Amino acid sequence: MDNYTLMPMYGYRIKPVGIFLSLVAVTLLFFTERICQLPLLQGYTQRDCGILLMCLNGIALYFIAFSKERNEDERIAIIRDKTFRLSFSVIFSALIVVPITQMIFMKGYTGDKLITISSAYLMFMLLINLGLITQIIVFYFRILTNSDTASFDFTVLENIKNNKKIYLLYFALYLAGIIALLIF
Amino acid sequence: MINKLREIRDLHGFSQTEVAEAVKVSRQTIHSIETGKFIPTTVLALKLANFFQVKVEDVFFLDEEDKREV
Repeated sequence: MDNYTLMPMYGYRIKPVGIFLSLVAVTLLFFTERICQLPLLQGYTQRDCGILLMCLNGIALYFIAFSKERNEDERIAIIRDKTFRLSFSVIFSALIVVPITQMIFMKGYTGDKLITISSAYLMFMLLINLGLITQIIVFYFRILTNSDTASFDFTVLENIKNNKKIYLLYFALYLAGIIALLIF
Repeated sequence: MINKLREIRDLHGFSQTEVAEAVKVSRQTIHSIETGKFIPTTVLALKLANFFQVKVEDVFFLDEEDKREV
């Protein structure tokens, strides 16, 4: 897990910065009419200013979420792991549910919706199985280059051998996703 | 898994904060272990046992349910 983890990326001190930025962005959202009259933002509509502030808030929230706690220990790492999985599942579900709802209730079906679904689906596959895919690639790269495979961790490959049907289905689904993306 | 961390800590007269600082974790982690909400890794269990100069088995042990699964 540690080899593939993306967080925490920043030290604890970035957290107060994120909170401050977020507070500023949210407060300014109530004054977008005045904000877009500033010389720097001339030409932007009130809606554009609102979107810019939402983006600023997004960056601020990113700093808060991806920064370390004051005391980093194994309990925090487990909690972070759980919350990361939960948030990822929620976002991924939303990515799938929103286009499908649009297709069913708004009769607005286009290829774009399917691309959105397929992209989310492929991202999910890639991110969740990054370690798995990397290990398979590394193993066959070592064989191709006649490198030492004795010290290699065979856990993933043994899992694949023991669950051939599941992994075959998995890779078939993965290929289907790529093909769907290419077609649409 | 159950543990006697609270009893051993009281016996030695240490506060949760002191133990937490000694093994480099947060006070909340010690509290979570004592209340059974969090099961520490082997490394942390060994650090705690080492801090109190006792064996790991004196602090942490399997409950009846865990024993049945063995």
